[in-house]
Amino acid sequence: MNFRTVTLSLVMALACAGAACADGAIGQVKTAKGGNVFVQHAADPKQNELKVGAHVSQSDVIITGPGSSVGITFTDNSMMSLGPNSKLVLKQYSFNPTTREGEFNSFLAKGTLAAKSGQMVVQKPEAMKIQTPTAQLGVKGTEFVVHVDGEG
Amino acid sequence: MSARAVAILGAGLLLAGCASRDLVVILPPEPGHQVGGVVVHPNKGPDVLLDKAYASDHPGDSHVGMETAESVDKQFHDVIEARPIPPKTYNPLYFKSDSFTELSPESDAYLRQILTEFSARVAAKQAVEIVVTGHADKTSTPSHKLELSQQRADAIKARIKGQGVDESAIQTVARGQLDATGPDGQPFDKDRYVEITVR
Repeated sequence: MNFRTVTLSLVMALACAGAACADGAIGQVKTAKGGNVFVQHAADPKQNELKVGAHVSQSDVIITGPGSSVGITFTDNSMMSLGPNSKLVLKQYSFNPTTREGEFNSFLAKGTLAAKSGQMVVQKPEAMKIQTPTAQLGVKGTEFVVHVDGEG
Repeated sequence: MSARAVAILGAGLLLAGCASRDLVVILPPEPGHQVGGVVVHPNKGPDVLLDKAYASDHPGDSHVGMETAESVDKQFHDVIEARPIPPKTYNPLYFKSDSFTELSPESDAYLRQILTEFSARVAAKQAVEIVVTGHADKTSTPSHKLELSQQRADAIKARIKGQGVDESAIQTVARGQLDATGPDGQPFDKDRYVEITVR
């Protein structure tokens, strides 16, 4: 391997690091049940079905209907799952896998959420924040569940 | 029941009456792990720190309550069942000095075992993503070691690709000497490794 290819591969590795590889993907759907799991992209009001293996991006809105649930693992190894009749907005996400620094802000508008923090919280407590209609939750490294009554 | 317990119970009921019905509950940690906690910053009222398994809060009532395994299962059964399989980081794979091609014999055998697990997960149609992180010791310059750690990660990625895992699902990270624990300028076996995480 010559110097140029090495430099190129390092540059590409860093480019990937900035916003995770596949087209700004920040996480991947690992579980989906019940058939009523949808994603709504930022500038597009249309709801698309969300299946296992699909990637999610910053500003996506994840919606589950009756009898449905979904589980997503993010690039810093944090995890979130939604129970039935829930709505979660992935407001802002950044993670650098080399330094393990990042920020993750989401908004649970209604329903139930289970969340587990990942690498960015090890680097900086409360780097992961979950907003609800009544509070902001700063995650210092743990697994927890949230229920929000809101109409969303 | 003592007068004090009744008073506390009464105060709890009063607080519950005026708080939101939203609820936050800490789940028990995996064996061998500790609860780091969640800070609840309510829109109104003081912050509350939840740092024990089953500690709970209705945001706004500034009172740490306790749920039980049963009450959590009753309220959160579906969402808990929907959780992904937790990411798993395997033990390090060690390389020979200054090499990015040759694993130690033990690590080579271990890698083959890991690859069998990946094949099984792909066959079970799980959405598997793999992160391969390369590390190096402190025998030469940080830039050379960053490059070497990238080459180590790339070499392991090449071996994982053969197991039916889509190439786009394998990410490499070069940590160079960032996690090295050995002395400067000396070869250190434990710092020449690649770590594989599957999520």
